[in-house]
Amino acid sequence: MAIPYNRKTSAINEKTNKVLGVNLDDARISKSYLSVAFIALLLGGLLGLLQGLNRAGVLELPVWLNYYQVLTAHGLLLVVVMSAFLTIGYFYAGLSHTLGGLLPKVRKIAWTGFWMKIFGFVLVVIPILMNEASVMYTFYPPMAAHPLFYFGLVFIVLGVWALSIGAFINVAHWRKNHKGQHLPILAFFATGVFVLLVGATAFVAVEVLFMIIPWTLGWVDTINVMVARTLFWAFGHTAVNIWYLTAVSAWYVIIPKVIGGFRWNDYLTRVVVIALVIMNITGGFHHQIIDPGISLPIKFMHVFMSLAIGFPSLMTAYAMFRVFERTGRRKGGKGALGWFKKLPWGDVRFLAPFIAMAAFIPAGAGGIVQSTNQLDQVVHNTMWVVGHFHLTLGMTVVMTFFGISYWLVPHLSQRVLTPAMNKLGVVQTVIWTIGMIIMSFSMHTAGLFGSPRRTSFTTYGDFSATLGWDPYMAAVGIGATLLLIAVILQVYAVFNMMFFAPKGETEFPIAEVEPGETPTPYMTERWGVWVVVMLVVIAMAYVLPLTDMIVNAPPGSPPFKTW
Amino acid sequence: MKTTNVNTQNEIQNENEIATAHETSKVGTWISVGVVAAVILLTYFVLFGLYMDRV
Repeated sequence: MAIPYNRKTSAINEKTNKVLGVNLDDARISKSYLSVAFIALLLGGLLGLLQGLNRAGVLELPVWLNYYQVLTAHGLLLVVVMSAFLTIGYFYAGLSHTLGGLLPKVRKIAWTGFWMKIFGFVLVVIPILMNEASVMYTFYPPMAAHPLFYFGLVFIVLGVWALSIGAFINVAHWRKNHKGQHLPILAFFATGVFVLLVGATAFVAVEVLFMIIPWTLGWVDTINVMVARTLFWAFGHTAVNIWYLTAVSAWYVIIPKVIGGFRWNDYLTRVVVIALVIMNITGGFHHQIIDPGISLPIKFMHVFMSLAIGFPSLMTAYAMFRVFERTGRRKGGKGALGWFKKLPWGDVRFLAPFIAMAAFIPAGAGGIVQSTNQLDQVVHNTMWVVGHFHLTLGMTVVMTFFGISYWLVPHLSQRVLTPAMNKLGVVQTVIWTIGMIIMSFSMHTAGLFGSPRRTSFTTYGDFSATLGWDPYMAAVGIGATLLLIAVILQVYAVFNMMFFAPKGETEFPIAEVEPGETPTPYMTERWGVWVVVMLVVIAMAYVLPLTDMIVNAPPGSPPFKTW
Repeated sequence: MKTTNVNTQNEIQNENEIATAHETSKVGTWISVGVVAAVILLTYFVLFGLYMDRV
């Protein structure tokens, strides 16, 4: 049964929000999450500069600061703290705006989740500062951190689950009162993201609770490294894709409004979300494509399962260019590409996410390389991979988040984005773009020459072939310097817009669907079905290899401290 | 825009049709998606070349 996307409800929600303004209780929640996220960005960026300069050979770290300690803190601050807090702050603001406010109990859950995550993070930080947990973002065995590190992770996961439950309660409440209607599109994205968060963290929870903690506490002597790695990557890869899905939500829902257009094809948008939710977790296995002990047929299946994620991304590329072309043509753009000039290039709310989208073209191409068995052998565990995730996360995701901050922070703070701040945002975007292009290109190239990742500065005894990597690593240092300048500007902009910008109203820009569009079938709202399909796909991917790894287990490994 | 003149009515009708056809053109979208495809294929072939060179 096809039910027209309910514009009336959407209009009523918009009017309600205009009359009532921002719900201050809800805004406080989102602002707290965003504040933590941008403080994490500042700290993580600073640590990134230390790494970049160290790898460039121009900065020797003090004896009390280990390279791998810095690398661990940099990864966790940016991949786990900044991305998660931004995602939750943004989607909780979106749920509040599109569902008519958060329920009182959901607000309580949101605060509980916030403090659990903060508490967990403090527990994680303590051993890192003590140099007892330099196991990097990829904290799988046989390297073992202090048990406190893993207890901290447990609290972070519990916080994520609390926030997911809160989101589901709010969505269920809305659906109960709006039977037969499509969930507002931003809430639809939020549902997908929180489903994935629960799915991804379930794997790491099993790994940490039932394998790593007993092992680091000495209750068991050895650990099955293959099983632990598999569980980690089901989480580790999905986490990154969750931040990507968050960015995609802004591309589909927010950007069309910012550029003065409409959302294109509500049905396609919802299908993309469903596809990304169903196929995402299984993509984690391609990180183990070079691992021994996994049979070739299983690897063959996983190449296809990983590459499948490319299809919704290609649908997104088409949809985005369609929106841009239609909007540009409506504004008078002529010829095959005249519409391109009509886009609002001086508006940071569009410029930053657009560059983010453009960056995903080479980033996605690199992802396809890494998911393909033979091609991955050229780049596996080299600096190429570091360049890849700086393109995907550092540009595609983070620049979209930056773009979001220029309207979300003023909206929540009941302030406005001034022309001067917009100009600062454009400058910040340009600096970040140049820095990330220099750094990422150099990392990719050094990786193709064989430079390994996760390695502190060394000249390999002045071996001639490895000395050829040095100019690229120097460029990484230059890129990292530019990036820290951009980070400082961004953090300044966020807190200025939060506390000091002129008072006023800023719109939460949610685009309407294209007039006259074909109604979206109601089947897209069957979340129960999509979750079951997701579980079936996960079972297809993981039951056989995990059974094999457990039944034919290799000798277990004791804990190692390699730093 | 409304008009009682039959000739002008036709003209306006044609203008609207042209505008609609102009607005719904997909040429730019396909060119852009073509660039995406080109980047993917180029990356794939370069890496495949490197792989074949190294095995």
